[in-house]
Amino acid sequence: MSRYTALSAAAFAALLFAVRPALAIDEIYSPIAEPGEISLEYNGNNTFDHHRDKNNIAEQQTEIEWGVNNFWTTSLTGSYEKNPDESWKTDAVEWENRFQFLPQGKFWLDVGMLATYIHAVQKDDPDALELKLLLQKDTGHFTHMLNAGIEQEIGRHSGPAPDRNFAWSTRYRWNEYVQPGFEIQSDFGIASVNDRFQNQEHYIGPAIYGRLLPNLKYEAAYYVGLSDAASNSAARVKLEYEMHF
Amino acid sequence: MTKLSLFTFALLATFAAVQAADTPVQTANADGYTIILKDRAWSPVDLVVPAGQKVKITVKNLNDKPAEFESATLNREKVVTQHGEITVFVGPLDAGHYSYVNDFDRTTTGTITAK
Repeated sequence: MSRYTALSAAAFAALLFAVRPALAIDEIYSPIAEPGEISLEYNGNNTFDHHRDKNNIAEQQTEIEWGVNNFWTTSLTGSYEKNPDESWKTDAVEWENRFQFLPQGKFWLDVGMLATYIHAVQKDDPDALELKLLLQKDTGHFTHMLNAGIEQEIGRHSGPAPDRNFAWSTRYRWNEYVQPGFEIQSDFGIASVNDRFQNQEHYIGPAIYGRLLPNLKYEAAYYVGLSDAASNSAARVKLEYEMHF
Repeated sequence: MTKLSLFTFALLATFAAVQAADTPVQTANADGYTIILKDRAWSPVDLVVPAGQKVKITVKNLNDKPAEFESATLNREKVVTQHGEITVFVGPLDAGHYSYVNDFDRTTTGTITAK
């Protein structure tokens, strides 16, 4: 590892603790592990709305991820968030573990699971445990991914039932630099409440994926809110710097 | 619905998905195909495989340095250790050319042609 890479990794690791999202919008996870790869990631998203209480809700995450072997990827994430008319605050430290159950492409569907422990940094905020089913299917030049998850608060001040979320992405693998597609992101809310569509958060919009530099990948998406509870629009961006050892 | 039943549902859904996926598609060639990386060249530099069928490809790295078999058009990215080998399943592919590269030496390129 070069001195520059080591210094970059150390600076990034320090950032982890300086800086959790609470929106319906999240990155969409592939079940595929990349053994031997360490990556530094930045994820950010923001809402836009005419109503002050739904405008400028934002979250940012910095993450260091390690592909341990062919079926396990683990990562440590620092998150911070901003609610309307508030300033940024540190939100949580998350330990994510992604499991790939099947060799990529060997069967009709690629299947995995994400298990995340979310440790709240703010006093009185509960910790949480999140489980997500990760599915991926390549068809021709298209890649489709589905994430379906539940997040249950645990410990003091925790809610009674888990929050349910869903995400879908389809991308056209045009070339390594530009892969256009679309995403759907939904937060169905608390499972014990049989809530109406309009009271849940649903978004859909165009997305673009690809590579900016040999080791730098990007994802960007712009969404339109489909339900009353969703903001008018929202945006998401992800940058991932890959290193191999 | 209780927390326990929801977590149980999530786990059962995962196992159901694994079962649904657990149907291997027949490969065109029982032994599959092999691509070898030696020095700064892939061999064969253009691998011809049948279109419309699942294909198993073994990628061998004969060099003293690790390599990464990467193809954006095939959506594959996997490290091959020095003197190691990996197995890659691709397809069913539409007829056409699919380029790939050693991501650790991006001048070392190759092609898979499906026809």
